[in-house]
Amino acid sequence: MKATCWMGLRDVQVRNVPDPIILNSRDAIIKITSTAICGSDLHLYNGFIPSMRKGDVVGHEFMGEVVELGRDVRNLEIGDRVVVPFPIACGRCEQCSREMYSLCENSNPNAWMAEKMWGYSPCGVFGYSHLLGGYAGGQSEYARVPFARRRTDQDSGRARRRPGALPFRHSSDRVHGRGNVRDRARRRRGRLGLRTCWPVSLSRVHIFWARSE
Amino acid sequence: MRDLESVTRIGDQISRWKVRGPGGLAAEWDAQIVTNQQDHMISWRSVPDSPIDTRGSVRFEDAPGGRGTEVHVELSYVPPAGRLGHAATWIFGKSPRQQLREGLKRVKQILELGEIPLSDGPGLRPAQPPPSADALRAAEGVAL
Repeated sequence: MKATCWMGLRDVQVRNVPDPIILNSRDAIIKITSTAICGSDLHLYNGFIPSMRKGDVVGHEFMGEVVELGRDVRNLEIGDRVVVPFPIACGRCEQCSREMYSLCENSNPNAWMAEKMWGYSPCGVFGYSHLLGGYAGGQSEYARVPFARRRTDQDSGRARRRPGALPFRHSSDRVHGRGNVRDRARRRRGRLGLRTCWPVSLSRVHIFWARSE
Repeated sequence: MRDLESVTRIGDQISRWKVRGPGGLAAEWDAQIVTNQQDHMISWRSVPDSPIDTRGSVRFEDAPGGRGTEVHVELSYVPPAGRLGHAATWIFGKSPRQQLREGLKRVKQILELGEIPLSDGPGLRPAQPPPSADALRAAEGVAL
């Protein structure tokens, strides 16, 4: 497949790389229909994020269609259209059980690197350096999504599913450091201010609409 | 421990540990349980005259605030001279602390997830889909 690869400082190229394959039992393979370039990708491009390797596939905001599923994915089906949040979260650790998905304790295989640098490791992130797991990103034709699961009522602890809610919650609509999307939408009931128009902001708009119905 | 080949129980309190790695490096030793407090702590040490003198303990404690269980591991070893010394150094790694932390992380992953999550680009491999799942699993020493 074709994928956007980080090849060095200010050197990003579209290259041919192998198609993703199922590596863990809860993986899904997504055929990507839309993907985004984030402002944070500029940090990679300009060399501010350590532990990038030549050839890393970048991209952490993408959506698409499920084309393959690992044997333990329960509530997704081939053909489902999904939005993939960028924090990779196992859904079973202490932090995930408190919905602090971006602090997932199990999804970063290189946690020791991040712990050395920051004292505590965040979750793994798609296409965002080996410090954050070395996961291939989603500026590509296909992507492997670990811990794939549909957002369900049980997942959020509240018994409802509304139109407009993010359909795919393999990780999170809470994004630490960028603000808590759901809570902000709730706090500003009736009004919603956005400074940016990136996918997280758009998610916020959807959640806001869903909440004001 | 990634390169642990087997642990066999050979007596009531004694087990035989075998490790094997690249270049034909291999070692085995017998370890004896010193204390065994149920649900709290196990400690062990290699039997006298073992090729590798090692001792350690695992301690389980309730994490504060009902946040699960803390697992504390202490491990020490005295490498012998010669080839076995090289083996011991290689087994415990240049950085035993990090080796242990990574090992504990994997234990946590197996307990909480039932498997070890694999990155597309472990180590120095670029974060690209690997050509084969088996090769990546073998390199990381894990099974699906």
